[in-house]
Amino acid sequence: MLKLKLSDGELVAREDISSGRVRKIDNTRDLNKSPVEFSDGDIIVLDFPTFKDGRAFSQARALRDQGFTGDIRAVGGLFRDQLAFAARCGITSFDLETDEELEGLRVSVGRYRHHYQRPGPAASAWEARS
Amino acid sequence: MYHYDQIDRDLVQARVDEFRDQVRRRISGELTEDQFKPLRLMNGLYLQLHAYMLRVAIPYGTLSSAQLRALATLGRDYDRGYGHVTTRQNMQFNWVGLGDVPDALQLLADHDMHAIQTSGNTIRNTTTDPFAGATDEEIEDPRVWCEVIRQWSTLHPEFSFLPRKFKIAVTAAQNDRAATQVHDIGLQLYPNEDGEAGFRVLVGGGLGRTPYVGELVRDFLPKEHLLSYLEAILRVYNMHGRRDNLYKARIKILVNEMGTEAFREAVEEEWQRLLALGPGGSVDLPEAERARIAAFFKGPDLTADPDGEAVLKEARADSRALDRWAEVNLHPHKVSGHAIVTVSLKPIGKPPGDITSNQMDALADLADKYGQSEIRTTHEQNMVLPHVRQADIPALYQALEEYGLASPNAGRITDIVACPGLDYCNLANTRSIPIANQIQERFDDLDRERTIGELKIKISGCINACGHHHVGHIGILGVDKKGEEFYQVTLGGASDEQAAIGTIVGRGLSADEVVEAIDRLVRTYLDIRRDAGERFIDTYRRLGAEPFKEALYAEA
Amino acid sequence: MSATALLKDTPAPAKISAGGVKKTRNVGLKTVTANDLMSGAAVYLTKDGAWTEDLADAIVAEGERALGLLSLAETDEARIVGPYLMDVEAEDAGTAPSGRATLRETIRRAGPTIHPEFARGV
Repeated sequence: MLKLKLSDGELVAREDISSGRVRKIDNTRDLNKSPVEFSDGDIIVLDFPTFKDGRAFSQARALRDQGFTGDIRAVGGLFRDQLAFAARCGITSFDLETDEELEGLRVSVGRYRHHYQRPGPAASAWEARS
Repeated sequence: MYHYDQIDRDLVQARVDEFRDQVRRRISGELTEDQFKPLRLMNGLYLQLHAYMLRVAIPYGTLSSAQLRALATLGRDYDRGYGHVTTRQNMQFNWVGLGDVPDALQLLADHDMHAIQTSGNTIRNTTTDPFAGATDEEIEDPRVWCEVIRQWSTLHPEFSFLPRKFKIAVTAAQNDRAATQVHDIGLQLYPNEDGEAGFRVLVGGGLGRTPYVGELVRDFLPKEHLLSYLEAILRVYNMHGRRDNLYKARIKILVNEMGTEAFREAVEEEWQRLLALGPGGSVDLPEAERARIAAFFKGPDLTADPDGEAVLKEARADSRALDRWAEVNLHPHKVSGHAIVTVSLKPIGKPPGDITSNQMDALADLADKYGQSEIRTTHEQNMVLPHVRQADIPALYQALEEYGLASPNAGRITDIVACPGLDYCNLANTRSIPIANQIQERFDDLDRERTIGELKIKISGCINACGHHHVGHIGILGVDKKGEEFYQVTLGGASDEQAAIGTIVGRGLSADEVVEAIDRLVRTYLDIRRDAGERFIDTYRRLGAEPFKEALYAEA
Repeated sequence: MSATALLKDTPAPAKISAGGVKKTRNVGLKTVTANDLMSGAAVYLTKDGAWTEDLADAIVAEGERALGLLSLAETDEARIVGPYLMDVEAEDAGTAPSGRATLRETIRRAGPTIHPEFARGV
């Protein structure tokens, strides 16, 4: 298992020294309809049971829209080319079942300089254009 | 039409580089096929019966002549010299080698094209009226909004792993040429009482194994909120759409299981939440960006030509062939002295929707010469030159004729829509194209075809319904019975503003019986129609299936 | 297990993929077929463990042996994609597709019926 986190948009290895409360959320839970209580030191763990199951992308955005500023961790079946999507939805750390080299994952996370949509750490295309 | 800026170009180039790397990893063994398959499927690369198939996106069916030439080159250099127009206004190539795909994608990127999200459980190519920007029936050019949706949906971080594929269509004309009622989301742009344009939003339409006409979810959506409303719909679908059963994963099943009212409320709640984020957090497009995009769709500067009509009329009087073609392949243009030209890709006996690289080059040249360098693809697997001077029509017709592109059959019984079927497709149960060709050959008589008038036949080789058989006036669905090809006929389907799902009228017919049965249907229609102005579909709507049912199985 | 299966001495033959989305049972003569990784062309396993576009050169097997060949093919991802067992029969003219998927396999073997110019040598 590869334990990683995003640090200023860069993917780096992660040491688990944080003492934050770890809360694992079922990936069927609609966090806008049934919100969870959180405080900023929490680590909220979202599950991708398979790479095909994109529900946790919506969950991550819901948490960020609700103002959660702590660590959102993705665990499960994400593959390397999905990490940039996850980052843009507000996910900040990963436990990945993969035997890939970190370098390749870093390339994938930084692949796209631009994106069209609003969510995400960087400006959207229309913001960059204006 | 829209032109890429550096941001668009960088993004598409990054996608090419990413895919090149993915192909390299597969060939080198770093990726297993199980890992590679979803990656190639997100970029339109299927493995079919004989080869890889690359589906290229043609956003809302609009191409420049330079882009059409690039597609011709792709066909020539990386395929077997032809492409195939799909029922999503895209173009697919049937014989591409895996090692060539990155270079083919680079060729596309160099001409501001891509294959992004032409497959996979993603938001697919947004389709629209092929006459957009040229017809006077529309309130504004719907392609502005299609391009807005293209950008919004491209590599969307939240909605790239949906329960199932997702298709959006937009029309801005009353006369719905975009099949909006049979899409996951159908958007109909129309003016309210104050004359302001907004969207009627339909959700949950679709074909496939469980066909539905879309449900009205919002009667009037102010244009500026399109993206937040779409985002709300997609979020409800992403969270609540079924993922336990592939066949129940489309949004139509969710809408059906929740009930339209509950679905509407869920979307409304999500939408209000998005709106509450305010301008700082809004996903809606700011007016400046809308205006920037809209400026690309002002359309060519056409000069009204009051004499054009008379010139064309005279030429038609002199040439019966031109006249016969013009009577169905031309459509009125909003500027006087101009016409919208349908270039039929349905010559008798050829695979519906196929176009050779040489034909693509020729058509690109003709678009430069007579058509403002613009070409459209249609969901009925034809092409369109949207802006042609009527005075140029005779010369254009002659040139089209030379390249086998002047079939006088737009909207007629030989203008058949058909999926690739078992001749190419890995999912198909039966062949479609040979049935289409047999029907074409039976009705290859221009006088008879004229007498029959508008009649839309659509053929699918399996229940996935890529040939849109559910919405054919006559639909034909191929079914496998113990290894033999059988064909089930449906009647009364339509994808226009009076959209309806066709009714199955009885047992499947063997391949040998189909053509004769269709002929009997047509003869029956000619016998019982009220007058020559009553189309097949009108007669069906007036009298129902019964008289046709008798005909279908009469001598069988 | 169903009642009828319990009455038999041997369990029902294994369920196997039949190409496309179809499933079948492992009964009768089989050949391992797949698509070539690079070209995508339909190919068949030979007795030397190579892949050929010519069905006549394919190895034909039955039962456990067929399943064994399939397992072997499944490890050959460097050369092929999506191996499965197809029904065949031995004819005077050589091996030919057989069973329910005859038409599909005939088209895979020979090329699209609508494009004689792309036909593969049969």
